Amino acid sequence: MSRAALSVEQRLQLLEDKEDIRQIIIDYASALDAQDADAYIALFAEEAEWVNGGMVRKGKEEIRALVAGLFPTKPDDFVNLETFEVTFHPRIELNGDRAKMRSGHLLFRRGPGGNPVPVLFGRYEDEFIREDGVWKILRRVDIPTIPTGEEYLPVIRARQRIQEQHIKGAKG
Amino acid sequence: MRRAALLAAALAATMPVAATAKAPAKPTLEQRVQRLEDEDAIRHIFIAYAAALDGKNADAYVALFAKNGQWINGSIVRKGPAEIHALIDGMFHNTPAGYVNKDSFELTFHPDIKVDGDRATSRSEHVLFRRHMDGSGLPQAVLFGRYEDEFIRENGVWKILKRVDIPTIPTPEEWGRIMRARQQQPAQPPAGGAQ
Repeated sequence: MSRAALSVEQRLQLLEDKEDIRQIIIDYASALDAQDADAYIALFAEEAEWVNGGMVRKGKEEIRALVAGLFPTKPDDFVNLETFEVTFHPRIELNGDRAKMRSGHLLFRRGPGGNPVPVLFGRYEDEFIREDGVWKILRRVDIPTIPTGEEYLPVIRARQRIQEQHIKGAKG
Repeated sequence: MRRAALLAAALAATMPVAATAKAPAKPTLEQRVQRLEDEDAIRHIFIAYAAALDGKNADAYVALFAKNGQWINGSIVRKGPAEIHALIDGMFHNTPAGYVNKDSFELTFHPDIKVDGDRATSRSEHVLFRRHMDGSGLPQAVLFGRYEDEFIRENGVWKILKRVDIPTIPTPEEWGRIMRARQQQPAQPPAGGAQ
């Protein structure tokens, strides 16, 4: 439907809907940076899916189990000094109580000298649903791109090995 | 049946008063537009702020602050446009007209803005990029930080009332060491020839 065929209220509603969905991007990055599992899960719909390659999690409980494994126990005043994510170029298509969005994201990690180093560029392909009047993520597909998923896996494994060695060293 | 209906009607007659007292008033069309405009105006401050930093334009930078604006980074606190101007003058050194910054730029993102009448707060993040120290001319991310801001509508225009800059990666202590090392390095000519 062209904008000319819409009432002012309908046009305003479209702007508000897009703004609400853009706010989800901000809240998502904030939850990731803070490693806040509750804030993260609250962004998903009841029937949500989280997909990354062959890894699929369906429903809030499965997604919670995934992030609980990723987010270690931390103090209340935790400040993430290791990583942050930048999400950008959201292209949102609204369709009533449903929406789709494509965006890009860049993950940074603390480098050897303390400065931030970009380590992963990826794309999100999302679906949203208005659930009880609030927009929620219905499906998030995370597509690692530079490096590819295959290239990134060895990086993750190597990092885990280094972390485990540090933990052993600290204990030993 | 009729009595039950009358009772229900009597109860219903009392409910709107209670319901009106509890339920928040639905915003009018104008209020909804105003909220979007306010958030957009504050997002524009982030853009103008980054442009002023990149362009090393002290006047444009200071113009973004309120009469009682504050700038805070750790223990460094500057109050009012004059103090903030003095701070920035020290950092921007006599920028010539037509200056193009070939050494650094700032990326600000994820502004989480909450408007409340003529006041607003925002949390956002930023990354500072600099020309790489290895002489390649490539941009290098050197600092990630968070802004915790307060805004005020002053004479109808949104201004920064308080900006707290929180260096995060590297930490302020690490950043101090990096800056000292950078100052000791000879300046690298920009790619494509000396200025």
